[in-house]
Amino acid sequence: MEVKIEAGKLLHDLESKTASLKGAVKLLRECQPDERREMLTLMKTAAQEISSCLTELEKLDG
Amino acid sequence: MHKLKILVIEDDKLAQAVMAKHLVAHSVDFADNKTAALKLIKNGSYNLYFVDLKLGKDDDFSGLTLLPSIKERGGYAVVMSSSDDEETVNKAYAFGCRDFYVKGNESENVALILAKYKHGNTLKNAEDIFSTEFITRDTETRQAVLDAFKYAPTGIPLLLLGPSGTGKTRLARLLHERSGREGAFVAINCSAYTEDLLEAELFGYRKGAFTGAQENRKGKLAQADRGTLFLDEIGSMSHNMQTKLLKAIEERVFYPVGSDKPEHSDFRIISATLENLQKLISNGKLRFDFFQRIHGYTVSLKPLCQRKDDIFPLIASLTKTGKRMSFSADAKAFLLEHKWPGNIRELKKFVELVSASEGVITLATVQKYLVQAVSCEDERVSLLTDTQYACALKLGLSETLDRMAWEIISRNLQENDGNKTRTMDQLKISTRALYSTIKKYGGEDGSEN
Repeated sequence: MEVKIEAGKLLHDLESKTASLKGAVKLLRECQPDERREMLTLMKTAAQEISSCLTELEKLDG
Repeated sequence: MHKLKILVIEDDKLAQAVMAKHLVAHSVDFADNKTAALKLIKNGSYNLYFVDLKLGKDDDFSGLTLLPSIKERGGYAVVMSSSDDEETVNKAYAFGCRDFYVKGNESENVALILAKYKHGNTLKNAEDIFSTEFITRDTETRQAVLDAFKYAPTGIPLLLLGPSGTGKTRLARLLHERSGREGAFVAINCSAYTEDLLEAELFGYRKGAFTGAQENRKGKLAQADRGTLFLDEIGSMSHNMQTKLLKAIEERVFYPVGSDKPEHSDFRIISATLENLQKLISNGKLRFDFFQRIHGYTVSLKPLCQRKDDIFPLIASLTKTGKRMSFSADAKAFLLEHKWPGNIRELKKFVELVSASEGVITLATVQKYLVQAVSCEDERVSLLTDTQYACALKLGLSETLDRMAWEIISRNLQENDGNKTRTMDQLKISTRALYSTIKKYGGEDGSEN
């Protein structure tokens, strides 16, 4: 049961972060160089968090 | 759109950055947890709230508990969440959210929400619209316009029906202004072009595509990118052109004349016609699949003769910045009884003509200028009245036409103080036609003297 709840939370985080990442990708073309750098930094952080989520999900699947 | 005060309640830094970019034209505050959000909700005065439901890694949808506080303050709360299961959506609406969107399509959804919010405010000020931008006191017309406004911020194609001069172009422009679309309002009257010219106007052309194409030219479809393409008198478009346009509407991709390179344009279609579309379909003049593409929501505008209460407010509006006018009682009654076959366009022309007269405007002046204001050059303007039609059925067409001819001739003779030469000249009739009519109806012998 706990594993199921934990997996649910991870999936929600994944959905949320991938959605933000997708939204940011769409905006990149319109960003000025400074904004673009800032956005890319945030996107890399989000990508790392997505990777961590995926690792945690892998662990749960055992 | 005027600057809105917006609170974005969102814990994810990247999502915050995305929202900041989409809301750059507005004044935006951010809160990344429940406590900070509550403080801002209580102390701030925001027009719009974007609320994420899960605020923090182990948060248990605390965004939901913020919704009643926003509702209490009369705020417009929009939930943007990745959790879109039925239970969460139902809870969010029950707690007071006005709209629920799934995260991931902010580039379209945020613009839609802003337009919808603005539209909501516009509806609150509906009285203003009807006394400024679209003048009408007619309840049905007001409702038709307000109903159409509900679809303004959507991508649904709109079809405006109504006789010439009833305000279709004005309404199309108002719908564009309320659409939230960033691009231009681009209008084209399809009946004003031959098929080849219409294709070049709509799709544009490349240099050398045809004689006279001395340079590349952007067409209306490209000009309407991210905006609205208003196709007036759509019923006059040829079958071939309908086929080409149908493809462009379906795929949002088209080829300028003389080019094999496709171009893309994100345009929204509003079309208008004064013709009976069902009849055009059954006659095979309008492709059914084309019709389906252009008639997402249909708005019908009534002719001015069915909106008598609008005549004097329209006159007042047309003379707002110029000379104001006063009409005698019988002149007013005549204006109300007039059929206005050219609708508002005819009224406008009449006002321009009559404004040159002095003092109180009499019945004779009104009658004189109304004749001049009728746009009879337009073959689609109906000249037929119910009385004429009833007479034709009763007396026969020939007798009715003769009687009408006599009424026209006798009125013109009166206006010209009995000068027959002037009447023949003004009515473009022969001496023989004039005298034979006078002989039959006027009691004179009909001899030329």
